[in-house]
Amino acid sequence: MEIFELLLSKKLEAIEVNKDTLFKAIIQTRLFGKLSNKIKFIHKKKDIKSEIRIKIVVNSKDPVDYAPTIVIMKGARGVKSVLKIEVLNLAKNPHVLISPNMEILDNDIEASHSLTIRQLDQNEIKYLMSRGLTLKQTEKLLIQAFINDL
Amino acid sequence: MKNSEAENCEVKKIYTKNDYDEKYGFRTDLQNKIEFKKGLSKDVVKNIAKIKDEDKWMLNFRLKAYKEFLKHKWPSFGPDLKTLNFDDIKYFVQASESQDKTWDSVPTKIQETFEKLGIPEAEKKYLAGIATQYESEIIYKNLKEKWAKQGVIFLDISEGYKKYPDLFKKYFNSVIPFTDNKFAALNSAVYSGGSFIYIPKHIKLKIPLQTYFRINTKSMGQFERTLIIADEGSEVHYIEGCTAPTYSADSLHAAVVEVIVMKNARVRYTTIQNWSTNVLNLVTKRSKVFENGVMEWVDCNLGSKITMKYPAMILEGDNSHGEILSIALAGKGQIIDAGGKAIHIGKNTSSIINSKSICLRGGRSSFRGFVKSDTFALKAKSKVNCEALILDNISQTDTYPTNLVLNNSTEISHEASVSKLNKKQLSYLMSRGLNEAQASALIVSGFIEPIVKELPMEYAAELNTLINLSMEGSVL
Repeated sequence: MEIFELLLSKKLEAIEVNKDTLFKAIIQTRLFGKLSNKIKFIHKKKDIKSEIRIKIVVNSKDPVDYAPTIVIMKGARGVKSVLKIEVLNLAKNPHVLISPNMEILDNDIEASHSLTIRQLDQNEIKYLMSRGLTLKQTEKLLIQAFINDL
Repeated sequence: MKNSEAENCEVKKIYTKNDYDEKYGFRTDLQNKIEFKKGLSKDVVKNIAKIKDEDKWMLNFRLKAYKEFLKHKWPSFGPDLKTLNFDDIKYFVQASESQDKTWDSVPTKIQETFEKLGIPEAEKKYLAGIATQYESEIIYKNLKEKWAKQGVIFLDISEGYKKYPDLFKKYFNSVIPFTDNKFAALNSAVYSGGSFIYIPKHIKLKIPLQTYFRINTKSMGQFERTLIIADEGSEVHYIEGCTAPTYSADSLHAAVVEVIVMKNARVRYTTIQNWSTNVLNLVTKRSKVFENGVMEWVDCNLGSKITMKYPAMILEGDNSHGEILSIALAGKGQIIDAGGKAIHIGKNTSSIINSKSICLRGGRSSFRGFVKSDTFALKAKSKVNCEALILDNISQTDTYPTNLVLNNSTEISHEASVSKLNKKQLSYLMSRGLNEAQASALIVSGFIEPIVKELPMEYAAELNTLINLSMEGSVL
């Protein structure tokens, strides 16, 4: 499976998925700034596998508006596509708008998407701080772990 | 005859299109008492108010709504509604003198219609109260004495306004203002029929209330309006069902349902929508939930040509909870655009949206969801689960969930999947003697079972029958 780093800053409207591909993207809003992206992953060919993994760390006031869409066209039989979005929401006054969409025009396919929006786990913070780390160090470590897990 | 052949015959005997027409799609030849000509104007709005003998307050409300309707834009999302011609609809049809108090005083032909649909039997067996709406008006309603004595109010909406104007004005238009959308404005201008329900403090109705809506006239518009107020600590389960005969011309059903769930109250609103496939079903349903209140929408959409319906809950009070359980089945020529909305405003609020959809024979089912966690909705939690079955390659299924978070303590999880019928399950069931159609129907029944089990037994059985009817002859 080919790995493809998605550049969410690019105003791409659609990507045609022609071979088995793993799409990946990590964004920290503090570094990236405002995120506004609506991209379609279009599947026209048969038996293609695609996986789209997106991680977003919201650590600034910059608004996030992300709406990816899996499209499986009629005749694209045997396609398997998965979209997974994880958001770590740490900003004080965030504006996080996420819409993971699907448009499916064939039945011999498998498609799914998942989205989680959460904060840092309090139990993990407590544990790491009980081992001597400061809150700042703990948070940095957990954010790093979130990103590296992609 | 071999066993498998016998089973085939039985399936065909039970579920055929003729049975469907006979049970739900039949027409009743009846001379209506009042039947407006097609078309919408200020005079139509005024005439409805006049027939209902309404005061200035309500007439002004209707006229303001009509003005809003004229200037309001069409929805910017969902199915194409451009085929809908507002001038090709009759906005008021009265089949009988409304508000007949006894079943015997309902005209025989209407009695026969509802008897055919099993309504009087249901009332006797398992309902606390019932209202039946035929065309534009409630023609029969009854609340069992036990509940009336405890202060439960179950009236036609216009009667509710006349008898309890203060209570009515306090909540009417408060959850869904007429400015909300084009169809809410239309409903507010020409509404007729629907229920006004008030459950007093700490009264818990153990058995459901039901309203059954029936459209009989061709090119008819039904615009019922329902207002439910569940006072502190009360509980109610309200069920609505709807059917219509099939005509070549389209009919319109544009209802507005407002539900107020006060502190510690609990409301469940169940819909089994089985309109014929010439009805455009464009409905706005919304509830406002106060502290510790619980709102549950159980929404089953099987019929209609186009449905656009997204039951919503505004979780305003702290610790309030809302659930939407939704089933959509889109067959030939049908577009079911359904889903749900959860707006978190109070602290520690939680919501669950669980949607199951099936599309077949060229039908299109779309899930459209919206979860919003407002700035002060601290520690809000929401879980959205959306599953779709697509049974052939001429159908289409879509999911459009939108999640908006404006604070940093909200947890949202969303998952959605689309698949076809599981081949292994099909093979297994067929190896046990079922034919393909039976095996498929059984898998679909299993697919929707988590939602169906939330329905009262009689309705669950009815829903399964309806789904089997819709699946009869499907390409699998």
